[in-house]
Amino acid sequence: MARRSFLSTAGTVAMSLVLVALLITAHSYFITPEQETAPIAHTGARGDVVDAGRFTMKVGKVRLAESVAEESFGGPELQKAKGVWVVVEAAVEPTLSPMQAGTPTLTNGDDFEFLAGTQLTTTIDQSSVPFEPGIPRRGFLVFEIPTKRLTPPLTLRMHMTDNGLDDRLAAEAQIDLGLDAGDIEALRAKAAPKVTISEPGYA
Amino acid sequence: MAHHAAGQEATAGDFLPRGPLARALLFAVLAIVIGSLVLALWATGGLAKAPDAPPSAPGRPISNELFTVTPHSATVTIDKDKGPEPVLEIRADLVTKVKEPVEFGALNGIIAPSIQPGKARVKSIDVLFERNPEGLYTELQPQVSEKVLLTWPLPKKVAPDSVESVALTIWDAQKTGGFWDERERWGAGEERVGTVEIPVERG
Repeated sequence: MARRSFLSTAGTVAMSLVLVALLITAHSYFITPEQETAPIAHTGARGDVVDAGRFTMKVGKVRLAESVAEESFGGPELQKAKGVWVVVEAAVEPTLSPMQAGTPTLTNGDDFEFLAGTQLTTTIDQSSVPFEPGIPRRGFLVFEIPTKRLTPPLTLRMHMTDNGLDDRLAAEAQIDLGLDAGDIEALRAKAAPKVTISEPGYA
Repeated sequence: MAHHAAGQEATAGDFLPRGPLARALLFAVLAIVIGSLVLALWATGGLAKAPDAPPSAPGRPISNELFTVTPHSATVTIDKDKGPEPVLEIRADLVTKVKEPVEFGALNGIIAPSIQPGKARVKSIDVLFERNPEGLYTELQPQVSEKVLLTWPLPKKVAPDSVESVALTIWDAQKTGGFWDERERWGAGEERVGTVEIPVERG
């Protein structure tokens, strides 16, 4: 005539709770659709030629500027930053076939992600000319960033696609600009009032 | 010899106390708890839909999970540069709360103006930054406050002169995946966060 003892019922309840907790934990490890289709990143440092499989990218000098100027139909146009312009010199070269640039992003140490300036037309990513294999395109990438968000490490990410539309599993270069807090402070101290963003060069 | 004694298995009701008095007490307590919950529900207005808050005046910030918007004024104008169609413009302060850029298109449905009188809906939001109205921007940078012009083409059936005011509803924002593309994007939820009645000035 055994009723189940209180202890065994409590044990079952406790075990159920543990299993539910484990289920919830396991769920948080599920790969999200974002992760499944994210661009495939190839990491590297500033100054190195980073091989992203479908293209290579090299990042050179980094400057800060209060405004940038670019040639436009109506003469040079000056754009003042809300914050500061991060002006990055870069060269990009597809390895196999013509490619289109996705809009690059700059990520800071607090996980903020800033999009490259889309209001300029002579940066290497916004130029409408497709990237041809074997012909490196050298020029500028610019990011308009609030000064307080210049927290290290600053990482530049750029992906390239075949058609400019579908960026799933695209090739991506992820390049650490290699600036610590001191470097950023020094760059800020000698920020240029104006940097001219010239047309990209091909050589 | 009774080898198989009856009543070994747990039956429904086994978890209840055995004594009739204890059972009666338990049910009495349950009845009181449920009764007081029903009373509390009745006192707070029952399950009927709460009436929408009356529209507030412009100039006050409205916040959801994605952004804070402060609408100031509205106009109906014809922007000669953009075409012959009349455009509804709302001047506002806008700042996002997330750490990644937000495409302007994500605001469709979350910021929902309804034209008064007639309650006509507008589609396809565009965002201009006041500091550079000619600049081509596509996204809001993370947590960077901007003075913006939110613009929508006026529906063809609405005569520009007939518009008296705009009831601007801000919905809650949710990140959900699509049916085919399961990557999560911002979209409107089902709760109104605020409604503003903005008189329309002629432009």
